[in-house]
Amino acid sequence: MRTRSLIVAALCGVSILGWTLGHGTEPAVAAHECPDDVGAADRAQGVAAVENGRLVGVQASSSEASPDARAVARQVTTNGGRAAYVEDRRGRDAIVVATSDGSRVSPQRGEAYHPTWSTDGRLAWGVDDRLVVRSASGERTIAGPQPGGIVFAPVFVGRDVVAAVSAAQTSAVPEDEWSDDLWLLHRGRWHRLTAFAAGTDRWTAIRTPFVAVDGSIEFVVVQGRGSDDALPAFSLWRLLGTSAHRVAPLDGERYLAGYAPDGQRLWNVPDRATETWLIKRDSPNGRVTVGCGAVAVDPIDVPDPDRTGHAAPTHIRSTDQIDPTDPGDPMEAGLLIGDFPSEVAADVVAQQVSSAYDGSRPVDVVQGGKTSTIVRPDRWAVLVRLPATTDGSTELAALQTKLPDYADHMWVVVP
Amino acid sequence: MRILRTPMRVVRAGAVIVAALCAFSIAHTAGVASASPIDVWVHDHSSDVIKPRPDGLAEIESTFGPVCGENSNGARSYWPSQDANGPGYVYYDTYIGKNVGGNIRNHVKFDHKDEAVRWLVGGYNCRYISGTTSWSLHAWGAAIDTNSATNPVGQDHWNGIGSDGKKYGTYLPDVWAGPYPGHKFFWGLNWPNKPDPMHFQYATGY
Repeated sequence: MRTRSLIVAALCGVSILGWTLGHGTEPAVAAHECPDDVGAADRAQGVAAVENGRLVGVQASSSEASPDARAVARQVTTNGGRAAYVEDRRGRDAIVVATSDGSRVSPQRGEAYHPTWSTDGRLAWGVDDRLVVRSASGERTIAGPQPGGIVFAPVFVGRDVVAAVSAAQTSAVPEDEWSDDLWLLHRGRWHRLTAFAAGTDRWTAIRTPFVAVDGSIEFVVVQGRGSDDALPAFSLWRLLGTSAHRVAPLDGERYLAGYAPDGQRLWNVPDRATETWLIKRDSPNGRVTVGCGAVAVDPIDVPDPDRTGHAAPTHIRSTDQIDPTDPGDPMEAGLLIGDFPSEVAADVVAQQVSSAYDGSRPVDVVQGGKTSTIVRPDRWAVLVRLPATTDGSTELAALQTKLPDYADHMWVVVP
Repeated sequence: MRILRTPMRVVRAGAVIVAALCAFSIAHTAGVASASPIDVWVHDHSSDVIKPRPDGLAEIESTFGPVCGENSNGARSYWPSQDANGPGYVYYDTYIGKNVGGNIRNHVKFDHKDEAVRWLVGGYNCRYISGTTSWSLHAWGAAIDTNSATNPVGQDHWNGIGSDGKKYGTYLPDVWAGPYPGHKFFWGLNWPNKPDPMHFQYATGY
């Protein structure tokens, strides 16, 4: 009897070990669309990019080692034999101009964005809420139109500069993006070119402006709602003179990466399975992959140096009810469907929920109260109690499938 | 089909009485002279609730799924002083549902420290990190901001003033991210550049 138990235990152990090893956190192996020689492929399209932390598609290379070992190259642009890019460091960034003879590293006073060349060799980039323009006569720093915002993705239009400007944070949107517009810098003064809708929930982002072959500026507009659980809408826009209009909706997340020698648009499309930015070109047969690497987008294969924090400092214990070595008791979760303005309304739905489970799960109607952590006062909800060992995500998905009318009003809660 | 309705008040009152009697008996047996008032709540620090914390984008995506996905706001709890108008719901990914909704929210409640929470408190939010093509961790429902009005991005310290005007020190950061009681969130104040004291996320390396 004991021998048999040991065998069963051993088999279980092996099974669990195998399951565990088979469910590691390694990303799934996926087919890689990138060409074998990414540099040659990108060069053929006339673009430079950043792939696996190195410049590709450009002959110039940086000969200076960064003082920050965690620095990451991003947002690269070329002009003849020169390349300019952001060296994203922990803390203040640098702008690097690289040629075949070497590189010039210019430390910046903050977070740097998107260097861009003019046809006559000037270079511009954003630093926090400012624009910097470097020419043969020197370097100028110009305050952006939105103090506390971000100036990024500038492009030259003759002597002028058009840049995307992100509005400063507000008390309602304390971090992350909410409102972008294009602004024109003409003779030292900023003029707003677009007025996209944005608010506490609704937001608009502008990404990757490029000067097209016809001299217009094309850019991607992304619009969504913070509360929506779906990807926002992507669309291609064109700015001609001071007038912007939508060209076409896009079929998913992608950003402009420039133009091929034949004038066709190039796109950066994320390949989430391989953590790679693909470069695709428009063609009569659809978009085809022609290269790889991040052009004006941010790398997804290396972490942002500013987001690699250190371990949390040890604080004096100020919450003394729980000993962290105490695993506690198995916690029961529930599925909550709500909110309803009355008990009667909740009752009706509770009957549907109970039917969906064929009575196999306890279904309660609960009322919010002053001490409730799951339902607001004066509201009612339906609560399905789940056993402690149940996976709430799976149960939630199953109930959403059974009762699709309430799918957007169901949550995992801890009663 | 008859709805199974639990008389909640009766159950809770009964549970409180039973728990109090048990606590009194245990304390008495152990020779403890006095005991703190016992509240009835369950904490669970097992790996079923405090799950592995992803590191880097690849692990974040394999753990939380697609950005702005259906699970990203699939769990919720009700928080005091959620916005300037008062209490409200905070939404987050189901992966951290029990840790946030059970451990952390109840920890604050049963410590009687609801007043330590001061608006805004926010979780799921489908947005970019400003000026980038990188999605905010809020877009996976894997980050929570708390007391944001008094702890803006860039501030290099935690302001522990609560909604009642009293000072609560680092009580809230300790609950979210401190070694005690060990809920394992990463605190944005620990980023070397642009500290973000309001921000607590269940991931590192991003």
